[in-house]
Amino acid sequence: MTATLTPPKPITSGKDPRFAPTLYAHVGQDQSWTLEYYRRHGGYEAVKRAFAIGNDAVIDEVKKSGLRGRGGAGFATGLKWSFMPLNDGKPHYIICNADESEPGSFKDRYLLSEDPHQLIEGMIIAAFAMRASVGYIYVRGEYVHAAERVWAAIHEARDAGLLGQNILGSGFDFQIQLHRGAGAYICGEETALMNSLEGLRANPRLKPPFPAAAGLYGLPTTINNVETFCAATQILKFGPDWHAGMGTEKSKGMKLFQISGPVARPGVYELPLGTTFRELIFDWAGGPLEDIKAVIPGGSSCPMLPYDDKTLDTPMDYEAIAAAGSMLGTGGVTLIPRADCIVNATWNMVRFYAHESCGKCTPCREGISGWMVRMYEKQVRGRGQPGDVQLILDMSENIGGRSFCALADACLGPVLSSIKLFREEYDALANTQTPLYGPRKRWKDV
Amino acid sequence: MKVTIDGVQVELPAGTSAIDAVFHAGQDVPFFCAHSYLSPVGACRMCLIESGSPRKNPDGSFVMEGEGDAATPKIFWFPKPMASCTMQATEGMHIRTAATSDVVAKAQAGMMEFTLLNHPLDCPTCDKGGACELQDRAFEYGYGASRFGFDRRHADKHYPLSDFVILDQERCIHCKRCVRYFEEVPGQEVLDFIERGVHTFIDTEEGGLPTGFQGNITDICPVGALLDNVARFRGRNWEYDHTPTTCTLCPAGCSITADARNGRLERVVARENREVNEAWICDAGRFGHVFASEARLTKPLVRVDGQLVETGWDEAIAAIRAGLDGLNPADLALFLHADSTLEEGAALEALAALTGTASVDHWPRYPAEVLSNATLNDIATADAVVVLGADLGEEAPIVELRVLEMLRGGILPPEYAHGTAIADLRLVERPARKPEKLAVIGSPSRLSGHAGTFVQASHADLLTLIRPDSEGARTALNLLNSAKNPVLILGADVLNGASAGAFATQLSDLVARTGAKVMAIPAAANSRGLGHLNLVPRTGGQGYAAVNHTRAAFISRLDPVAAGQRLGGFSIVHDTHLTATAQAADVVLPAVTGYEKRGTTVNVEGRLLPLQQAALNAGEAADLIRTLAALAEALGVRTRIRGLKSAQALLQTRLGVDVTGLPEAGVIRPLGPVYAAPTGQAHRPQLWTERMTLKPDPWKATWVDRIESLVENKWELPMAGAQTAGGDD
Repeated sequence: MTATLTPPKPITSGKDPRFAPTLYAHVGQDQSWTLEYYRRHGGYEAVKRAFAIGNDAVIDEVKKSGLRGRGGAGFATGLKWSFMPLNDGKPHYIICNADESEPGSFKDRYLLSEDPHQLIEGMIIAAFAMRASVGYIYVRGEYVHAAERVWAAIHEARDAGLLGQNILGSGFDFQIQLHRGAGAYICGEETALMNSLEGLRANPRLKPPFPAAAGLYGLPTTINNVETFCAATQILKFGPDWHAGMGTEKSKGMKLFQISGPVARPGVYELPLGTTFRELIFDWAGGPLEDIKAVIPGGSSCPMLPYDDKTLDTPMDYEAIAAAGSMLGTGGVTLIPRADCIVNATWNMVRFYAHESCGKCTPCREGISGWMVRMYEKQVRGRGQPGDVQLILDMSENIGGRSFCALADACLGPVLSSIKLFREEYDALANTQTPLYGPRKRWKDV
Repeated sequence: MKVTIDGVQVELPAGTSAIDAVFHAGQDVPFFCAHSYLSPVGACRMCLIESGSPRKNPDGSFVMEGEGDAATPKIFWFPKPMASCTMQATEGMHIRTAATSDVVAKAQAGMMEFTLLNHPLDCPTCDKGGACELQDRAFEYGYGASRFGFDRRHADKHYPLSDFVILDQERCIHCKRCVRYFEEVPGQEVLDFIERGVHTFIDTEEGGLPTGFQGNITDICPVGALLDNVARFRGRNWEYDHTPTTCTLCPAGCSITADARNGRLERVVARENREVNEAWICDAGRFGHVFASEARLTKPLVRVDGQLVETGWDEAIAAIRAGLDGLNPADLALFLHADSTLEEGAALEALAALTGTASVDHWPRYPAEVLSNATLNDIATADAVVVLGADLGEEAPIVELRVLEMLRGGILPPEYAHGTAIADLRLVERPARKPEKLAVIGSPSRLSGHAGTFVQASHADLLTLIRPDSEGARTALNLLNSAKNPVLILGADVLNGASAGAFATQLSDLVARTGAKVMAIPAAANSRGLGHLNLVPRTGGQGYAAVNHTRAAFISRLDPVAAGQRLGGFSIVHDTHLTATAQAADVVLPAVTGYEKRGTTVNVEGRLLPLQQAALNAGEAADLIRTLAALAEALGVRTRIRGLKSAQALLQTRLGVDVTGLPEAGVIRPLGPVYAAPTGQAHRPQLWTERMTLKPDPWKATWVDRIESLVENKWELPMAGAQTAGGDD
């Protein structure tokens, strides 16, 4: 059986009226995490098709579909899969990066807990394409519920012969292991994740060698985000042309966008890439509940954009957001209200990165974790001094691009963009020790 | 490969790291985490440079810039500064350092500011002050002032990682050298970072560091965070007299620097010798030097009414002359310790020739004559090593490190204009070890834990290898047979049990069949050199084992009484301390230790290595050459050898080697035992046990307690106790 299924009937989307959700189609349905439900809704058909067309054809289809990594960097998935050496006689690994820890991102959580079989199917397809024998799912430690659902699904799949020896009579052997992290954001960095999986301290490794050459336990490894594997399932199910038909020219397919902040219906929305912020915020999320001043387009590490017509009409795809001066990232859109002090809001994010710095390299350990966070605390606590903003900018220059991995640069995203957009708020705190927007009650105090 | 650094073009071998390219071109970048013998890690981010490379068109030609003949390959610069220690230089690469790039200069100054944020800047009380990489680099590359207006991190300033190494957690700059050292060099995963972010600190998991090679982390620490507890608070770096010399505690012959202050030897640090010890020394060599400054004999002693009383050299000579009255000078047996220098051996041989005594011996030595031909670098680059009957930790610890180096790939770092490569990109963190390349036959030891094949044998015999009777022994023999460059290491167990003739035949057969190189670990530091001087009993003479049968004996730095022997007739003892033998002697002459004499020693490879004299205060103590001259005077014979120069001239004629002006790395000469003189006594070198049994207790003891324990135990490692260490911060 090499024919694809018929894509689901279109429902809505201003960007593409033909679009209908597939990744999140079953999230929220009763018993959607069970094998029985999944099979009833066309589950494990994609993997049968993958086995039928052969492993090189799977990579070709993923290449043709234009799928790009959904973890944030947006690297072409098919190309990444083709980097794996073919017949080197070594065991190959694939890893699913489910260490979703970026503030503002919460899409993988529901994929894991509500539709784990979609992920498992995607991993079998990927493993088959890359001749991998073992797959690891590295789940964020706090996702206890999700980890239990995935673990149960792995057992179900094993019992049904979907994992293990000779899967579905194809002669292909594949096992999946689940590993729960211990609460470190840095484990979302691929090489740190591998160190953590190996039982070592989660420090990022030197690249090169890249994981496709020497990854987990020094063996060829490919690591992808949860959403990427799930998208691979859909691509094999409905065909690469279906996937390539959505989105924009360079950013194809659908994406899970998350929206948080003061909107009527915060949550996860599956939309074709290239949908505008306006559609997400107003049509889907029901519009802001109060005056907004900034938008973080893709998780806290992406520089914030001003909340204006230009931003609202920016299509949410890799290129358009980059042109606007930020990144698509994980698609975690966060709105920052006008009445919130931007310094305080940024401090919140800086505190996160300061806490999560792994301590390996100097600029991140001392610059972010030791100094930047205290500079922000100083401002917010009303101890600011003239010149502090300039100092933060100069410090950022010494940190940016000098660190070992991208974590320090991620912290500078909100710092530099907020200073650029709201310099007057910083200056007010530094020069007069008084914020332009005073403290508010937190939502739980209301 | 042509690389241009700040406009200077240099030719470099492929694989060179950018940091080595910079130094090779005579430029400079600061660095803390890179180390020549450790894997590059890129943690400190100080060695930032700007770099750019030419790019090729799809047709293979370079993208050019400029017109016609003036066109040059266009350099595409990286948008941000890169860490040069983890970047490989490539053909046509251009590099800018702080000297020509303001971006780099600012980045480095900013990084220095970060590095110093939480550093306590207690340089005035820090032992590293004056020899601190951080201090030097902060002056060269830093802003000069910090804009950090907050409290620094506070942590434990006297955190003992072990009895010998104290960690100051505030000073640590997280370069990870110590962690990588333990993982990569001795192969012990004991240290790691704990916590994260700015709270990161270094600690061991279960307390304590493994013995053997832990002291090296105090050398490689770029700041004063890890300090040698034996030397802590003993002096400032500029107060020490630094003497580059060679360690004579074992036959490895490691290059060391002996640091003395006010006539006391306070510290021994490793000195790089790419051929021998690379950058490491063992703990016995580093911490076991304390005897040289404790309870030394400073004046001759003579026995008066049954009691040894202090006197002068003239009186001692007179006492010797009186004691030998009625004896022939040929009756005076001459025994010396085998860690004596070649020059001292030559002087003794000359005196023996003058007096005509047949009883000459050096000790310790093994009965078998084995000419080893393997160098330490041969071991490191071998593809198989079989260790037979050796406990390397006790016999020659550095050989153990070189075997471990072989297991992780035997990568010898390349050399550039600035010396050893600073960042060798072939070295990787957590290297894969190949234990199947090592077989150990003998008693369990530290090394046997790393071996793929271990055959337990209480008395290792060459025959276990020649006629293997067990699966393990067969594996070991196969290893030798199948490897291209195998090395066979022979230790005390096998050499003690060997009977001279058969052993040599068996060994040469085995070597002929397997093509293995052999390294026989000599019994003492200079056994190999003194063996070549033929300092063994002549026909009719007594060996050292028969010291109680001598009518009169001169015993230099040997302690037969402690080993259960009795002294024979009139005994003249030349020693550094009042040993049991000295207490039983008739005349005691004060000697100098291996740290305070000039001369030449021959190490396990046959390498001539120079000894230099550290500035120790040892009263009237004299080296063996001058002592023998005095002895000759007492005997009424005139020896030509009255000092180092004449001894060296004698060596030149005797051995045909010029030992003056030896290079610091030494030179290999085919010196080895030339005698056939069985000894009836077995010897088991116990470097670690002898030097390190008196374990220091840093929390014990006031000064007075220590003095008392010194008297009782003869000497003990002086520790900077916690109670007496106040006021240092």
